[in-house]
Amino acid sequence: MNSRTLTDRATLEAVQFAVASVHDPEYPGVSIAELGLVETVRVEDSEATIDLIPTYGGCPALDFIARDVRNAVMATQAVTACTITWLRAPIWTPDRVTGDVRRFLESEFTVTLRRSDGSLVCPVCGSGTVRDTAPMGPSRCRSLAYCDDCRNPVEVMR
Amino acid sequence: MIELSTAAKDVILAFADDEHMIGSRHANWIGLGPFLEEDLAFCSIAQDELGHALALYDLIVPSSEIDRFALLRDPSQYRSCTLAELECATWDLALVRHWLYDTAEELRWKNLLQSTVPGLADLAAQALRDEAFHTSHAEMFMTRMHRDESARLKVEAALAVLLPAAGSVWSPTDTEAEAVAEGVIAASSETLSQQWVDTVTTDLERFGLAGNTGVTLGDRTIRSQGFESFHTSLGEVISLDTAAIW
Ligand SMILES: [Zn+2]
Repeated sequence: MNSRTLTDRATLEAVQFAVASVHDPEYPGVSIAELGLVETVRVEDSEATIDLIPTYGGCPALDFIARDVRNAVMATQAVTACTITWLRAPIWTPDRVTGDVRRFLESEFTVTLRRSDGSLVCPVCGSGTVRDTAPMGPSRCRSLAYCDDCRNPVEVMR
Repeated sequence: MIELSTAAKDVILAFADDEHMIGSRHANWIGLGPFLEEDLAFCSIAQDELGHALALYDLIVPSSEIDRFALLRDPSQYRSCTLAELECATWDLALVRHWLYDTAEELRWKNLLQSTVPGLADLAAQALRDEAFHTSHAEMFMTRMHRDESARLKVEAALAVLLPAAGSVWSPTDTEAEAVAEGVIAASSETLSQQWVDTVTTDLERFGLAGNTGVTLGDRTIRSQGFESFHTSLGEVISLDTAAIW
């Protein structure tokens, strides 16, 4: 292994770490990487290229997230430039959210995500008798459901 | 930006302007919805439609010029349809228009799923995820409206006002035949309009609501009544300082 490879790898890791440190504006404590927004991070000739995936096209937070990512990457001083692109494909789906974060979202925000089979589990009591009540919830990325067991409204990230 | 044919640009512009107008009209319900959940629902739907408009404009206008293009063009340069432009001053009108428009919008995105315009098929796939929520939101209300006599009468009155204008959403662009030939869109507006009439007619029967469906095409080069003042209000903020970067 030559030194150049080592340096390149260290640079890439520094940039990846910086990108992973950026939190989603809607869910403080949850990183954009954990929500599945980071598609690729590359470094070539001291320039970082980062491809991100929006949860949905009209998200007003995109500019803020891109700014935060750029600031975090440039702060590493590991690269001289940083290009950020919002991709149209692949499409973000709740499957991209990692397992640990699902539990964090449930406990901190009482926001749940649909299981891969389409079912819902109550984030409050764990019951499976949760039914959808309204497709449009309190914010653009959440719909509403209701737990018939503990009688709590449940927000579903969509 | 990619080089696109005039026919492709025309189709994208007409759809983008429709999405921009409907999104802005829906946004008027912020703080005014009949109850909090609907206030929020219309905000969310408006946000989606404006997001779609932005993504479509992005295919035909340099990113830095989109705001000015969207808000400050001369009214004669817009290509939106009457259904999207109309002011719906009461919530029954707004709800029925939302249902009629989104039923059409879903068909229009599906018509772009195989588009030869780079990026457009991906955008359509993403937009269809949003549309599933919009149509189910609209249907949730429409299916319940016949159960209460006063609600049914209001919705039927709104249908009587809106159905004659609703077909305007299918007004083709001048160059539509070329757009079909180039694979920008899969089917013509006429084909889609027939599917839409079938869907709307079947749904109205299912909802237990009376209304005469049919398609009267409009002219996308002519602005509907009330457009001028709406356009002025849309451009009010950006006109405060046209050189500012928002
Ligand atoms: Zn529960």
